[in-house]
Amino acid sequence: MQNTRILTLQKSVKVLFQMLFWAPVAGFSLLLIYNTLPYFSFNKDFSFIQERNFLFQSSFYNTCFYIHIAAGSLCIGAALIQFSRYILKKSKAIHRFSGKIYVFVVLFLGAPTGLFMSFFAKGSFWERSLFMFMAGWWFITTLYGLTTIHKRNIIAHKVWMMRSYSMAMTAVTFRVYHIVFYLMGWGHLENYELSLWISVIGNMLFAEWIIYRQSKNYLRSFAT
Amino acid sequence: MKSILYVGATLMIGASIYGFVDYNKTRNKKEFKDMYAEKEITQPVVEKKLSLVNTEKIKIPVDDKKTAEVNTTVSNTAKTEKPVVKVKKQKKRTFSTRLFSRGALDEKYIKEDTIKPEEPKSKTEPVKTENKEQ
Repeated sequence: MQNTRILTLQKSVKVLFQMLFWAPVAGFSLLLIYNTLPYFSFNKDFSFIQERNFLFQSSFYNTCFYIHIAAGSLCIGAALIQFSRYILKKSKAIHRFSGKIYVFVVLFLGAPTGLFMSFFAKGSFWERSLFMFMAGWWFITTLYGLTTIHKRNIIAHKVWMMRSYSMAMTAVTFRVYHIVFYLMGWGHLENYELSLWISVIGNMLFAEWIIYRQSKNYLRSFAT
Repeated sequence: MKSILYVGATLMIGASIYGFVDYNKTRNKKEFKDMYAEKEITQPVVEKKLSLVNTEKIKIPVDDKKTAEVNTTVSNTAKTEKPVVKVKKQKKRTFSTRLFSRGALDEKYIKEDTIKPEEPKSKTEPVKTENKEQ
């Protein structure tokens, strides 16, 4: 049996690493939501809208945009509490309720509007294709996350939801890379394209790495 | 459960079909082609032409108490205009939470630090009046 002091140290290191991960994730997610709120003044004085002034003349695109940003903020906000073991232990009802919001918002609002808007996204053919892939993958992973929990397969549910959340978080990580490259003095378009690719591929790889680590721990638990 | 799948799938297929059709309609339009084009901001250089020339008659006192009129041509620039110093604008990229956006990080979010030109030190020293008679 290991010394209790070592065990406590190991636990506190684990908590520290979790804090180091979740504090920026929560902070940047809340900042994203905070920066999205002014869009609901329906004012057109935003660089994103001004740049796409031609597209915003279409009422359908306009509607899709506002639905998409509302859905995005809602699902990023709802997902923040989904990975908390504390909430899951204390009250499953909260987890279920916010999970339902997340799934509904992604499947019916966020992904379809994102898919439509991806046709007109900034960048070359490949960036547009990447946006389409993101919308599709976000939809599929969320749908799998839902079907697996209906079958009471909790491990598979966790795995698919991590993949889904990694897609939702591309909105956050994209902005982080975008700012970093901007402060490094990169040109706008190359910054935009590179940030986009890194955020999508980076998030997917990161999610797979977490899943691999957790599954390794899970398999190891059978051995002991 | 299946109804969720059907509704979601219908929305996704509808979005992709409508998006594709709409994109094909708009992709040949000039406004769409120019939409994401990066425009270079060029500031027109305004040159001030100083053409005002004053012709004054200056009376120079001469020792023998006769006044001699001398025609002198004095340009206004020497008297009134300060030497033109080009103001160099240095754009400093600083962090702001407003930059946390998918939109273009355009110039209006960038704080501009303008370097003020150093004013040339006035060379007008107090004139020493030498009174030789004293």
